[in-house]
Amino acid sequence: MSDLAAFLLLTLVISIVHVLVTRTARSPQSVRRETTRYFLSAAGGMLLLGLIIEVISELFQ
Amino acid sequence: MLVDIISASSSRCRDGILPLMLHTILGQLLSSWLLPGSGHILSGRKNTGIWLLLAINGLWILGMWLSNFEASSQQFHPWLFWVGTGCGSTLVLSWFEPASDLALRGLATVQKYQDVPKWNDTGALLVYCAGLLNLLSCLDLLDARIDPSRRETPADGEENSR
Repeated sequence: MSDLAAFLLLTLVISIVHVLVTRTARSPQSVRRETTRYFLSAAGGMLLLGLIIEVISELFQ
Repeated sequence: MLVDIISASSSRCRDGILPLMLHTILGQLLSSWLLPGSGHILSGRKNTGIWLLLAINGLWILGMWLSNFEASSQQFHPWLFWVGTGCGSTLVLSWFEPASDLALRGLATVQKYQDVPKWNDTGALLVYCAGLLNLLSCLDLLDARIDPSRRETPADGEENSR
């Protein structure tokens, strides 16, 4: 659980910095909304991928 | 022309070196390297700078605390240390060697090795990620100076000195 917390913290900070340094004049959304969207898609995607790998490894054991 | 140069030089001397540094890109980059986010604040992007300052410095401080300052030691992490120097404070801290007392010299016992805190490596990881993220923010500062039209305009009330 503590590893998950560290992973989420790191992903959150990376999301914030990524959104702040890649914003252009044409960015439509607010920084907060864009950061939330990026964080949810990045962290959620990685967790989903990890879950799929876990399930597949359980199936083949 | 000579008079212009002399008057410009004397004007710079009168203003002092600090205000001059704050307005040059090199000064802002140096400031951003030493204290992440400060370069953005100096260049007029205050909101971005404050967020970067909180995020990167928070990660750096948490990492240093968790790793017992081992992340700033070249003795413990000879190669990764240079990744951490993306934040200038890591390099400054390494001069004081705050983790030198933690080094196990000679034949360290297995028991002593097991005493290393669980979060030690995670802390080092956080510091090195902060270093890489600060390099990214320094590149953003440089990029915004090269072509300001690519960047967002400052929010209302934000002053842009570029």
